[in-house]
Amino acid sequence: MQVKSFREEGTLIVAPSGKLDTFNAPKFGNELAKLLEEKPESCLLDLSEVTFLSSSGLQVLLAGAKTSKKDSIKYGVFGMQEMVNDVFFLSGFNNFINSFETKQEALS
Amino acid sequence: MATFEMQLNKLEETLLKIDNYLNSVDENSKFKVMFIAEELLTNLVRHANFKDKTPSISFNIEFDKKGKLEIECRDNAEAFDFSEHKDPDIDAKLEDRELGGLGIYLVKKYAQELEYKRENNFNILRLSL
Repeated sequence: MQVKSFREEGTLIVAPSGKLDTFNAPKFGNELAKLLEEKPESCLLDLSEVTFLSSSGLQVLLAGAKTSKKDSIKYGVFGMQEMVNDVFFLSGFNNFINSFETKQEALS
Repeated sequence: MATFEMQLNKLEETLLKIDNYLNSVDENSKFKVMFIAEELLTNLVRHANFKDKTPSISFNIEFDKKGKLEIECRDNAEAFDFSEHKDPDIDAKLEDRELGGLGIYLVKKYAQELEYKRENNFNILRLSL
């Protein structure tokens, strides 16, 4: 698993790739926590390269949402593949994390 | 049909073996089986109480005549009836949202049928997709 991050129009975009499973999710969680410490105005997770999401991965998305709320950072996800999207919605995460199909949509 | 025996310190290795075995299965089914395998086996490693017994854990995958996937997970830990596990409140607001129980909740969602029994000091959980 790799995590790329860069700024686009003032938004921090964080793009993990591979499996967000019990082995890889903690690493992604640490990187995301570090990046959110910089308190960007907004943070978008590009999940288009994520092929697997378990409850360990959900835990990281939830922790990111909680930190963002506390620090008034706009937070969202985009580009989820079908089954990842399924897990996200079945878990009710759409109740508190904005999700978008594309980056353009997410940025607008 | 394939059976994967797991020792408590071999979680990653076991999940990789299951992942490899499922290479010929369609991607959505593979995702679901891997999701179920990870949640069930991780739970056993983290939370199960085997007392003074040598842990015995097996994860079995079978295709029935119609090609439907059936999973059986057996372990000799203390009794744990998965099907009676309290579901998390998935409508909770972010502030109140907790993560506990979500894995089990999703496994139940993915299973078309789910049956638990306790037999000869083993937990036996059967699910079909």
